[in-house]
Parts: sequence; structure tokens; C-alpha cells
Amino acid sequence: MNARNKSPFEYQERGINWCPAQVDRELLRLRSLPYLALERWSITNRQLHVTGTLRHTQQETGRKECLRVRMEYPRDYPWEIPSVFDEDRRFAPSADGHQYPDHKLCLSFPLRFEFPVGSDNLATEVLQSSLVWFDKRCIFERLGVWPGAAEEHGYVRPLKLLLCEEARRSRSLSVSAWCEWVIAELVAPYPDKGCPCLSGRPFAHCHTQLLWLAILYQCSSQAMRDYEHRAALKAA
Amino acid sequence: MIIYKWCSVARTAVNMGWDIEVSRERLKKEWERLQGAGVTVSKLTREMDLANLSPTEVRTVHGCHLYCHAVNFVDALDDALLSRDNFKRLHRYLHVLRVEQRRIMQSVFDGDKIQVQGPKFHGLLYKPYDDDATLAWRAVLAGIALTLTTQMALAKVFPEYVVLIPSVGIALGDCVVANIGARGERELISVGAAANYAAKILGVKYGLAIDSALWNALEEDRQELFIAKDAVHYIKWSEIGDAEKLLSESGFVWTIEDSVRRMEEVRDGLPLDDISSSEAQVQIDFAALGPKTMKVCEGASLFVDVDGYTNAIDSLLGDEERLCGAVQWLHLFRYEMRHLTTDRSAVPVQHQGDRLQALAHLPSDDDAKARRRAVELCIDYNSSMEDVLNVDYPSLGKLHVAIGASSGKSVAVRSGVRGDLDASCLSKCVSQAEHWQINGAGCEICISTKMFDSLDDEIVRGEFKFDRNRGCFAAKGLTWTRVADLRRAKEYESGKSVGFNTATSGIVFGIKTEADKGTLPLRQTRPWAVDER
Repeated sequence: MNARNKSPFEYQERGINWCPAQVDRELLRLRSLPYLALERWSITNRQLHVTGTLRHTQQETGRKECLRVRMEYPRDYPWEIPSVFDEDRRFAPSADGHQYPDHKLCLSFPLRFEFPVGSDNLATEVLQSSLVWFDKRCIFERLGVWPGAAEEHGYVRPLKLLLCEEARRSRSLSVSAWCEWVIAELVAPYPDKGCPCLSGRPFAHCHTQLLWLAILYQCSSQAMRDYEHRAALKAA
Repeated sequence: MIIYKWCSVARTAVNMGWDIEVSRERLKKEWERLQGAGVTVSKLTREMDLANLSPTEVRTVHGCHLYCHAVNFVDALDDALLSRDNFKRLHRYLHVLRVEQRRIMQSVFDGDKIQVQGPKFHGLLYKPYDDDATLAWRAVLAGIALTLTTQMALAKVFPEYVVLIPSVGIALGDCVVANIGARGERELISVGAAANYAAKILGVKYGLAIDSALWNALEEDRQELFIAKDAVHYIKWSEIGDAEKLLSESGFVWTIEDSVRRMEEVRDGLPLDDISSSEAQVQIDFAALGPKTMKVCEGASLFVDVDGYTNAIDSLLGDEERLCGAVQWLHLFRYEMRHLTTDRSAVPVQHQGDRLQALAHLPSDDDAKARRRAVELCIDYNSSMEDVLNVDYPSLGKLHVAIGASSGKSVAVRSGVRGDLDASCLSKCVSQAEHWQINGAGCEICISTKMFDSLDDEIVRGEFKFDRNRGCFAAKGLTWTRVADLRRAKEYESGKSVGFNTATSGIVFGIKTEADKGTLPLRQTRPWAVDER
């Protein structure tokens, strides 16, 4: 198929072509990680799959902890974040344990954009976050409480938190108040209206990130309400 | 990614005394040695006795366990005269009593001394074999003789000292007896419900208490000498009349005057000037102590006991193979507890069945540090039990330890006869620690207020809660793993840097959070981002 005939939403062409040299380079990078023991790799359907063991030692007790993980590189890596799975199914999937039913690790809320997408170090950062996840999960298994701050489950609540954080970051009382109104659905975000920071500039040209988050929040909460309404009707 | 040494940050306020891998490796080697040594369990029969028991031989014994306790022992500790010259008089007082109690048990009643546990004397009568009625009556007579020895004979030998008030408990049943003495010395331990129960029914002043099994084994006319109260039968002294006559009618040659004479001989053979008593500046070596050498120190006394082990042994008494495994497990437990104790520069005082008594008195010039070390030792015990023994050697199911610890001035002594000396620590804090351990649940550490006050680690302090009923601070399930987890959780919570130690190279790479920079006041993000400072 000609590349011109492809839909603009098909990004496969952007991804790395896993030629032997490229694979070697990536494996070399992974082998240099002190906390990962690389075991095997394979390419299936143009996707690189890597299996290895994450390990670290508890400082106070000398307890050695190991977790076998499988990292699946997406087709358009490094523009999409690789997924990491608990290979030996050591942990039982649970929402409080931040693990999906297919044993995939829940590493980050996607809309936070915490991983350096497009960077060569994306896989390294994902593995580092997996190590932190593993450490936290071990503590969770023993103490029954997820250590440190954890993202709220679902989509609407983390968005709400992101919106609040963005408002706090602006350090403007009027923006914070406006955010509370958005959450309470007293106002709706309009790009061409004045910015709530009272700068006089259009919203879309002033606090763009805030506007974008507010629109996302409004849409997702509306979608969630519709879904719950439909589910209630179905149940009735 | 920048990799650098993290030691300065990650190891602050970290206690490196206990290491799970060291414990695992040590126990693995000992377990292999025990498997090779081949511990044998057999029933005690007519051809055998407990005199020459090798460390690999274990006997199941059907007999009467007899405990003789001095209920007012605390008064003796408080007595101005007995506490003079570093408790020399108290040591001699108890030594003379111990030698006589041992003689009565072995020479008069053909039984055996198991152990002397501070103010308690533990004896075992198992002859005649297969005749419970005669055995039970013999045990009662031995109890009477021991009571009168403490109450009357000892008072005649030392008329100026506080009179010790005896209390005797006797129970009939099966138990396991092993010799754990090192270097050819004799150190018996016994594990079984009867031994525990005999110690439990102690406490009534001048009381001689027997359990229902023993009472049922007595002949009917002898049963009438007892009065029942809550499944325990107490002797009616008014019905006994002339005890010496009663004993001689039953064929036992013992009189109060005879005991007085023998005790006077022991007393005269041990003049006060011959006893050397000094403050312990270095680690106490119990092997170097004896009737003429004793040490006094400021330190913490600890008791660690396996909760549920006695029940496990009782349930296995008919199954020799599994009983052998259970005894091997006890040896493993003892080995580990002993090593943990010495690793913290503390001293194992005595193994009392499935219980260990220890003394933490170093450093001698820093009492607070010694107390802290004792608490750390308590956590070591619990950590090894929960994270190693229960995980790697679960043959008896999950067992837990109950720990009691209290600090104060203690006297370290060894009394008895040559080749059969019993190590003891005499102190109020010993009784207190023992009381907390007995009343503690599995997996629980009970410490005194003074010990709690000396703790400087906030996380460890936070785990202890004051128990108003018992008057001590108690922590449930406190292990080093838990402490490390809580500390790590706190680091994650605060958004501070966290360090990871890789298992192979020992390289530690630092991981920082955005919150370190103060850019995100609400929550930390990217906790995996490498610190590039």
C-alpha cells in the first residue's frame, strides 16, 4: 500500500524498524541497567518483546527481591509507551495494587505525560518506573497499604486532580476559584473567552494547558454520567 | 542515567545488625548438619536414665514435673542485708538451697533435676515406670519435702535472712527431654504440656498444687488429702500431720534435720569472703561463673518463647518420625536465637525448653544504648522467626514468638554442683520480663517504659503502644522488614530521594522525585527519574 493512501491516524511508519543493529543498540542499553538481568528477547509482528528480572536489595534487612517482567515495545516506539507485565504472575491483579487484570503494571496516568515520549531513554525510564512499582508493590503486599502518593483509579478523578494541580501551579486565586466552578459545573470552558487569570487575553492563548484539561474533564465526566445513566436504565 | 554511590543517604538511621540472607545461610548449614547428625527420639525405658544423654539423643518421658518456686523472691532482692556486697549473700543463700533441692530430688526420690530457672527449681520424677499411682504419690512426697526444706530447713541454716516462702506445682504427663549442654556439660531441657502446666499452677504461698491427671492417679485415700479448686488440687497441710513420718512410712529417708546438716556443710564450704563479685565491664562469660564467682551488671533481661510449640509436641508424641523433625526444628530455633543474641553482644543465659533467656548489658558505660540494643535484639528474634524460620522451615506450621524484656540491675550467677551448674539472672526485671512474655501473644514484643524511653528511632517507637493492663509497651508483628517497609513508605510519602541497591554489583543508584525541587507541591510524579545532582 502506498504511504499516501494511509490514514493520518496510522502511525506505524513512525516506529522503529527493529533491524539487527537497532535491536543490538537497544539490548546494549538494557544490559547496562544495574537492576535488570536480561534473559531473552524476540520480535513478533514488528514488535520487540524483552524478558528480564528486576532486582534490588532491601537496605536494612538485606532482603533480595526479584520480579520477572516482560516488556512489550509498541509498534510506534518510541512515540508510544511500552507495556510491562508481571511475567510469572507473582502478584494478584488488583486496583489497589495498581495492576491490570492481564498482569500489566499500572505505571502512570497517561495524561500526565510523565514518560519522555520520543526519547531513546523511554524504555529505560519505563523499567525504572517498573522497579519503583515493584518496590511499592512489595511494601503493599506486606503492609496492605500502597506507599506514597497514588493516582486515583478511573479516568475522571485523576483528571480532576490534574486540573487542581494545574490551577495550583498558576498561583492565581481566580484560576483556582474558576477550577472549582468547572468541577462543580457552574461554568464551562470556552477557548475564545477571557482567561480566568484576569490577564485580559483569550483563554486559548493564555493558560492553554488549563483550558485543555478543563475541556477533557468536562467531556469525560459527561461521558461517565451518560454511561452510569445507561447502566442504571439497563439495570431497571 | 547517572549511577553513583548512595551509601550516605540510604544507610542513615539504618540498623544493619540483622540480615535475612545471613540468617538464611546460617540456618541452611545448621539444618544440613542436623540432618547428617541424625537426631533419634526414643521412649525412656527401664534400661535408660537421663544421666548420660548425648546431644543427638532425645527421650520421651512419662513422669511428674515438679516446680518449686520462692514466691517472695522479690522481697529477698529488696532486702538490705541480702543485697549488700553485690548480692553475695543472696547468691550463697540460693546456691545452698539449690544443692539441697537437687540432692533431695536425685538421691532421696530417685528423680532428676531438669533446670533451675532463677527462683524456680524444676525436677522430674519418672520412676517407677508404668506405675502411675506410686509415681504420683512419690511426686507428692517430693513436693512436701521440697516445701519443708525451703520453709523450715533453710530458715534454720540462715536465721538472719528473709525466709523464702515456697510454692510447689506438680503435673503428670508426657514430655520430651533433651540434653543441650555444650562441651560435655549437662544441660537438660524438657518440652511438654505437663512441664508448662506445673509452672502455671505455682503461686499460692505454702501451697502444693497438683493437676487433675496426677490427682486421678493417686489412690483414693490419698486423694482426700487434697482440696479441689478450678481443676487444680491443693494439699491440706492439716491432714498431713508429721511429714517426716509420712515419708519414712513410704520408704523415703528424709528429715528436716538431715537437710539442715547438709545445707550447713554447703554453707560452711562457701564462705562469703571466697565469693568474688564484681561489676561486669566486658561481656559476661557464664562458663567462667560458678559458686565462687558472680557478676553484677546494669542491663536488659529478655525472654523469647515459641508460642504453640508445646502443643505441637504434644500432638506428635505418638509419631516418632515427625517428633524427630519437631525436635530438630527446636535445635534450629535455639541455634538461631543464640546466634542472634551473640551478634548483638548480648549473652544467652539459659534455654528453658522452647524458651531462651538472654541478657543484654553492653556497652557497660552507656545504659541507654544497651537498652536500645536489647529492643533491637527483640526485633531480631521476631524477624528471624517470621521471615526465615516460618518461611523456610514450616514443618510445624506457622509458629510465632512471644518476647518480654525489661531492664535493671541484674546478678549473673551459676549455682549447683560441679558439672551440673545452672546459669541464672537474679533481678526484679527478670521476673517482670518473664511475666510479660508469659502473658504476651505470639508475634508480640513487650518492653518496659524505661526501654521504650531510650528508643530514638521514630518508626520503631511508633510501633509500640502502651498496654495499660500489663503496664508495658507492646508491639505486634514488629520485624526489621516491617521497619524497612515503613521507612521506605515514609520516604515515598515525603517525596524525598529513595535509593535502590542492586543485588549483584552492590551499586546503588539514586532516584529522586520532582517534589525535591519543590515544583509540584501537590503530589510527587516521576518517582523513577534519576537524580542528576
